[in-house]
Amino acid sequence: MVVYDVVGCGAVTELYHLPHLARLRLEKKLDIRYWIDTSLERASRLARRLGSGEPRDSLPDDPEGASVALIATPPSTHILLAAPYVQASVVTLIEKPAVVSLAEFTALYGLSPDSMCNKVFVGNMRRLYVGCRLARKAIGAGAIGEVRAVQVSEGGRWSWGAQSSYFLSDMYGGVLWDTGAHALDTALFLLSLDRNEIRISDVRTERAPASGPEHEVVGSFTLEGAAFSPLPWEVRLSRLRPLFAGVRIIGESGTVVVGPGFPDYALIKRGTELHQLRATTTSTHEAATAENAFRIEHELLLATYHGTAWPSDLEFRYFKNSTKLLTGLCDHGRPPQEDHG
Amino acid sequence: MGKPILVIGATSYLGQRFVREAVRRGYEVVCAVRNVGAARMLFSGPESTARLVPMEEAGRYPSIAAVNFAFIKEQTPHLVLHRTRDLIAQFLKASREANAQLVVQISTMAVFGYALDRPPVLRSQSWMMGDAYSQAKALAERMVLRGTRESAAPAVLRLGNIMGPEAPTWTALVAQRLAEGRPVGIRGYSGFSNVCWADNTIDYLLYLIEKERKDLKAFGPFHHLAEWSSVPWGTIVSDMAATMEVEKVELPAREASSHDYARQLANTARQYLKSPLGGPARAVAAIAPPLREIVQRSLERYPSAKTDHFDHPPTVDVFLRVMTTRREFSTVVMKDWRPTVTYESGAVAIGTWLQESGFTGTRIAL
Repeated sequence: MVVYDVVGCGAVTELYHLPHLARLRLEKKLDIRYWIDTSLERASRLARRLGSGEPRDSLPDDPEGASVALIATPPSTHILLAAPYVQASVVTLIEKPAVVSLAEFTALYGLSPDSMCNKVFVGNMRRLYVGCRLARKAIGAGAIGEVRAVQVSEGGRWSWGAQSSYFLSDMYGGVLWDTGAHALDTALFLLSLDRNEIRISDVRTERAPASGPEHEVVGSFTLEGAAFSPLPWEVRLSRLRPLFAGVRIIGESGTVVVGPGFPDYALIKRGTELHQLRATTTSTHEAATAENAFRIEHELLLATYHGTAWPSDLEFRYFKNSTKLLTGLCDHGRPPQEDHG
Repeated sequence: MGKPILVIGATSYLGQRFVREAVRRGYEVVCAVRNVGAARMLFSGPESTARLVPMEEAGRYPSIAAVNFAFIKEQTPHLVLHRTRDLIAQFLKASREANAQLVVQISTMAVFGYALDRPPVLRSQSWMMGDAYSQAKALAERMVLRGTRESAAPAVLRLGNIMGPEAPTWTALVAQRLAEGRPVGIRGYSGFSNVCWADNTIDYLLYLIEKERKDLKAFGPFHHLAEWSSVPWGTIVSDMAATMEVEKVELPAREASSHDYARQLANTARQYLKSPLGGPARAVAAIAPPLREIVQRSLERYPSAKTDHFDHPPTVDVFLRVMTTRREFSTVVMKDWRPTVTYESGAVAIGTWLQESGFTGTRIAL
């Protein structure tokens, strides 16, 4: 029986992971060993809801006793909480953003005895969306010609019932790390630049408020790499007001538009015309809904434990460049610190 | 010190704009919120002078009027109703303690159905509507009407589709659907928009707050506002699409099929099972795992009507149902109030907002 340690019993776990854990437990595919949260009350509540698992307010001394670990806590705590499990070679899912600096990325990567191959994943679920994956293929196949510019935008009035106040007090609780972690990664993924070596330069950002976790960010930078011409990016994020939500990949012969929703098509804009590109078949590892995406994540974790997993774009090693973008925008134009270790 | 107003739901779109305008006009505004920290994050502009207090302290501040913009967004039907009762009970308690002379419940034309399934009339609606959102709104209306003390005047302001810069559903979501090439209508079905402009709504609310209680009681408790109701959605969407330089996508009209009705039946069954009335059915399903499995798998095949399924006619997609209604939600308001913003000037404001918010793809200037 696969046993989970669930680290972080807040809104994300309760609303999005718990239904799938409950269903998989009913199907006798997993059980919960520990519910872990700084609030024993929160941990106990989820334990009661699922009817299984012992609540704790600290990590166990035997992380290797878990088959799978789910880390769903404020981003600045991820490395501290994930490290024992990664080191023990436990299959681990870390909610996005996985880490908050390149140094943390390298440190976590280095902890894994098997060099993070196929056992640690990041919950950037938009990579699983049908439309997103189609768009990536279309761009890669030259549907819009040479890519000329990238626009990343997403905004909405805050209505999230976060259990902790980290989004107000933690510098990694701002909209850049929250919404931006999805949106920027989606853009990289669409361009298939999540795995290449990249550099960013000419970073300009305006954050509001200027100190503390930001609620709005407007920024621009240039993305450079060996395999492509310097690419200008624009970023606009807000959790105070609605903005256009999506990534625009602007090419010489059209623009690919990918929103955060779940269309089963890729959208290509040419002039005022909108063209929908659809696949004739889809994989069971692609998500048509948010609920689907979380289900696939857990199926991936179980399959990884059983040694039957498929190659997944959620592997931790594919998120170095996302971390680079986030830290670059966060650092007000100072280049992100490469780790040379 | 200005006249004090108590606001519940101040962090909503309309609530925030109301607070901002009330502060601008010199009122002293007390906002009862669930999360003071999150509210402070949202209230960073001129409205930041409003006092933010936890819900349980709302009644401590004497107010001339109490306005409730809040509603429960919970998905599970019986929880929506349960939490709505709690919310309105808190609102009424606060308004009594604050000695508010006017108690306003912000409601919606959706109490008559999403496509105005019934003619909109100025009286209480049954809460057995079959949809948790509408049920909860109707329930809230009835509680406010019954629970407002005799010495105060209750008012239920039923609003049409709220538009305005940053309005989440009928402006931002419409624009988002346009940008993503998702359907924003059905060919041949350009319905009444039944739109109310946010700032006109706020102006009317502040007008009501200044009215004499006897005039309010003489008018009656129900107010309907959709001053742009006769502007067709087709016109509004076309104007937005022109600004955004995209072609709007519309579904072809087709007759409902048995598949659509099966989907609707499944949705109703799902809501029934999750409601308090579904207890006996859930109990049976619990002792018969194969039956539960069959029911669960059947329901999973027919996702809720609240999700977008663009290849189905208005019987399923709520968004498109509202946009293709053939019924007008006529405005019924106190006779000496006039809206100040016309559709023409509102459309200009929407166009400006679309550009500033990235919907037109205009480059950012840093």
